[in-house]
Amino acid sequence: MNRNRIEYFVRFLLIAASALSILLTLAWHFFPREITIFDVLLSMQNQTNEQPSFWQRLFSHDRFSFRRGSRVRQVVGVTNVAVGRSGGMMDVDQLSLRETALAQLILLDRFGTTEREAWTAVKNTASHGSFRVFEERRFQAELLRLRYQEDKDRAVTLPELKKTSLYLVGHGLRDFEEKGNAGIVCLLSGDAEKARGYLEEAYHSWPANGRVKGNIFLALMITYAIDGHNPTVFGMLDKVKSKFPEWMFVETYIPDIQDFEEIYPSVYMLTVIRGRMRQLVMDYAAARACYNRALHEDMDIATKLKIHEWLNETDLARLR
Amino acid sequence: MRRHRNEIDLSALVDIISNVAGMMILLACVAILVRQQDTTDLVAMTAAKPISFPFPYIPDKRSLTLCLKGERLYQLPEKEALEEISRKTEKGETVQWIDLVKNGVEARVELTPTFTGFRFQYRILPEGGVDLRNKKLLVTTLESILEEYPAEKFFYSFHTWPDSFEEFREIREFLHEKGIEVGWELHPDLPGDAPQGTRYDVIYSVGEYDEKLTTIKAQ
Repeated sequence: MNRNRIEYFVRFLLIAASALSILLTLAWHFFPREITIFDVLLSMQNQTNEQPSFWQRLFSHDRFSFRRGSRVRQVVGVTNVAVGRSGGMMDVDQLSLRETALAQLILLDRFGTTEREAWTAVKNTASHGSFRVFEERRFQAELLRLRYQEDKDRAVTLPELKKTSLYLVGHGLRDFEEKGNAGIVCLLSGDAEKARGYLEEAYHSWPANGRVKGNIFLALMITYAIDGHNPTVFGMLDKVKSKFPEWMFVETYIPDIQDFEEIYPSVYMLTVIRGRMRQLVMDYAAARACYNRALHEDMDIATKLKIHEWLNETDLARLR
Repeated sequence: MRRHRNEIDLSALVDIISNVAGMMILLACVAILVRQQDTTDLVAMTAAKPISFPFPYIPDKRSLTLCLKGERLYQLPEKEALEEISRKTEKGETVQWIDLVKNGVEARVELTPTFTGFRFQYRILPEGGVDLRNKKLLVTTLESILEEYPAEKFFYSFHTWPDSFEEFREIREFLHEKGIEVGWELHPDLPGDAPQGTRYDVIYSVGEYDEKLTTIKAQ
C-alpha cells in the first residue's frame, strides 16, 4: 500500500511536470519579445501590419548572409587625385567660380545632379575674367575623369582628357593638381617620358604627405620602371611603405598596375613591382608567380640578383 | 520471501522511465527556445553574429556618412550645404564657410585651405534624427536612404556612439542583406568628445590634402 502511494506520487509528479513543460513551450509564442527591424521588414514584406509569425521569428536570426560588393578597383591617381589648385593667391571672382565648380562636382558625383545642371550652374556663375576658360576647362577635365572612372567609353574619354589636361598644365594658373593629373593621364596614354616630368614636379610641389601623394609616388615609380631605371625602382620599392601609405590595400591598386602591364607589355619591371607589393602583404604565392613571370634571360645581372633574393625571401617565409 | 519479491510491479518502472525521457525531451525543447529569445545583454553579446569582414578595405564607391548617437539615426545635410554654397557662389560671392542646422545636425562646411575641396564638420544635437526604437520608422528611413544612395554606387560609413552600438549591429546586418558595404567608427562616449579638439562630432573632407586625414574604409 505504502509502495503504491509512492508510485502514484512519482507518476503524478512526472505527469504534472510534463504538462507544465508543454504549457511553457506553447506559451513561449506569446511571451513579450523586443521587435527588431527584421521583424518589421518581414511584416512589411508580407504586406500586413501583424506581428511576424512564430516560424518567421524562429528562423529570422539566420536569414542574413553577407554578399561582397563589386570588385574593388580604381585607377591609380585618377580616382584619388582630387580637384583643385594650391593655396596660392587667387582672384576673388575666380574663387567663386572654383567653389561653384567644386560644389557642383560633388553634387554630380554623389547626389544625382546631371552634367547639364552642373554645367548650367558653372556657366551662370557671375564671375568673369581671364581665368574663366581655365576654370571651365578644369571643370571639364574633372567631368571627363569621372566618366573615365565609370568606364564610360574610355577609348574616347582618354584622348579628350589628355588634351584638356595638357592645356591645363600648360596654363599659367596650373598647380600641383594639374601636374599630377597630366602625369597620370600621359602615363595611361602610353607617354611615360612626358608623364615622369609632370609627376616629378607634382610630387615635389604636393602640399601634404598622405594618400594622394602616395599615389603620385606609385605612378612615378611606374614611370621609372617603364624607362628602365631599375636601380631607382628598387630604391623606391625599399621606401614604399613610408611613401605610399595605402600599400597594404592591394585590392585598390594592383588592378591598376595590371592595366599598366597591358599598356606597356614589354616592361617586366611592372610585374616585379606587383610581385613586391604582394610580398609586402605576405601573399607569397602571388609574389613568386610575379617574380617567375618577370624573370627574363636578357635582364641585367643586378635585377636578376634582386629578383632571386626576393624569391628566396618568399621561400623562407613559406617555410616558417 | 519469494512471494514478497513478486509484489513489485515492473510496469511502474517502465512508466517512470518513459516519463523521465519525455520530460528530458520537453525540457530540451524549452531550453532551446528560451535560449533563442533571451535578450539579456550578456546573451546578446555572446550570441551576436561575429563580424564577417573585420579587415578594413577601400571600396571604389562613394561613401555616405551616417551617425548613430543617443539611440537616434542622423543623416548629415551635405547635399543641402553644397546647394547653399552653390547658390551663393553663383551670384559671384565667395564663401569661406556656411553654417546650417537641419534634422538635428549643426553643420559647418568650409573651403579647404588649398581651395581644392570642402571640409564638412557636423555636431549632432539631441533633438532630430530618427528614433532607433521606432523600428517601423527606422526601416522606412533606411529604405528611403537605400533608394537615394544605391549599393552599386555607395558604401555607408557609420559614426557610432556606444549608446547606439547594439542597434548599429542590426542596421549593419540589414544593410549587408541589401548588398551595401558598411564601415564604422566607434566614438568614445566622453563629455565634450570631438575629433581633433574641435566642437564637432564628425569631420570629413572632399578634396583636402592633410597628412592626418585617412581614407574612409569599409569593414
